[in-house]
Amino acid sequence: MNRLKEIFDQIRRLILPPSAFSWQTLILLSVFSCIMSALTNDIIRDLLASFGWIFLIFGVGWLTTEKPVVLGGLSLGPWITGALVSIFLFGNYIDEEPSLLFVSWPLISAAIAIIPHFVSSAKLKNPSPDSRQRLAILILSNVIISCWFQFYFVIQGWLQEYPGLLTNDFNRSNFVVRLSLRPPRPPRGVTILNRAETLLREELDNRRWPEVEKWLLSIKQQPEAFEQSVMRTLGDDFESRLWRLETRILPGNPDYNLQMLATWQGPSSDPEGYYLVQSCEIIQVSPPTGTSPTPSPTANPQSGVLAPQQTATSRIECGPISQPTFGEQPESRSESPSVR
Amino acid sequence: MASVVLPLRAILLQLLLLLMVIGIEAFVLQRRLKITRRISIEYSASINLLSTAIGWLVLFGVEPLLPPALKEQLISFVLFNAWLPTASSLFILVGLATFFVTLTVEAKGFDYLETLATGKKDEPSYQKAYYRTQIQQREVSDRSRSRITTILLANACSYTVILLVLFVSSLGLGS
Repeated sequence: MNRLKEIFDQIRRLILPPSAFSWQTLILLSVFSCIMSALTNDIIRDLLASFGWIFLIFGVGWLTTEKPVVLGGLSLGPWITGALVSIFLFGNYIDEEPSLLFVSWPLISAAIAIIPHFVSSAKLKNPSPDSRQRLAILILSNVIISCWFQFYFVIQGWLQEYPGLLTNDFNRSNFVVRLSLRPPRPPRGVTILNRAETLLREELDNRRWPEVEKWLLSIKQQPEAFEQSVMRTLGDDFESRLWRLETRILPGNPDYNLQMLATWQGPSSDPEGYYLVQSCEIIQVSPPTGTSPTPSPTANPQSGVLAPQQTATSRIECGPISQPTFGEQPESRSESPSVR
Repeated sequence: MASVVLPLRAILLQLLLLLMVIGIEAFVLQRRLKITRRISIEYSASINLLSTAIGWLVLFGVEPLLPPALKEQLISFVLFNAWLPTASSLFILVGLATFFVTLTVEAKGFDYLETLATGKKDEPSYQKAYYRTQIQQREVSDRSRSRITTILLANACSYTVILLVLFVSSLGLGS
């Protein structure tokens, strides 16, 4: 019981202002403003909230001057106060432009730290020559810390502009370290292969076999046309330029195996980049009459009656998209698929 | 972002290099210019911090303006430590430019810092020198010449050490 009373006394001594002009007053005013702002709305609330922040900033600034938190000969007060000022000024922009808050924090802290040297008893003065060097060192160190923060945001910008970079392995870098919290988002290549699959289904699923073969021949002769029609659906931004889509046709009998590779050709930990593969089977479906299917549309019907509109049709079955594989792409198994 | 990429290695590398460079240059300054250790460390620290800060600002200024091909080379260098042989000559050019620009910045910064620290302007302005005696004139020009030489020497030493460290670390990390 006595112990509890002691603790209460200590807290009371800490919080209650010893005089009207002390840091406790400011902090209490800040709390008061915050509570008041919660009760009102619109402009008054914003105004009161701002006042709350300002009181808090000055209160903490005063507090850290009276009871400095010292780390290695340097009072940490300006950095705490500076953090509060940065949050107050730029906290609202943390979603659109988070760099503002972090980059301004060391600069504001440095400005706060040098104020005592420039103001003495409410008058401007020049700092003493001895301390000028140290002030310069203080300011410059904080500028460099700001630059470090900005570097982080520059790299973030790169990763957002070229999401294909994320699949790579950053171990060889001299500059960055990657802390993975969750598995990375699938790269653009997956989207590319999905679109390609959709396009393939439109063109090749449930068609007459001769059309299928004609289409495959056109792909073999002009592979870029398919690639372009897929890429066009993606829109034109920096990263799409760095993805290539390659289509390989492997003849089976009588089916065809279509292999699509989406390759990342941008900066990568492997000089060859990485690729994703998806394999699609184009299966010939025999016509419902049950006669033996003839793979060749030009073969005249010999055995059985094959009505002209009952030629074989196609069906597409696509496998899953592979995980990103680094290194050079595998060679095609055969050079020229022959379309009979 | 699903995973977080932090430039921690860059920060550590820079801290290490800065400490080394400040130490080496302070040592050279102290020996040649006969100033106390504390002052030489302070000079060296402020000048090197200044040139590092300017370097960062140049990087942040140039990076958005790069054409996509060069930007990809930069990204490849920063994130994967890999670049095309065609970019090597650009790197060498940038290295040389850095050396000479930091030399200039340090020479000018040295003068400026001295003004800042001592609170009075330094002598070698040629109008004043005109009225001096021959001996004093020669002293003044000797002094500024030896200062430039000292700065040159200090920078040369520190850059050599930097290159050695980077070379050894690249050997250690493998190809």
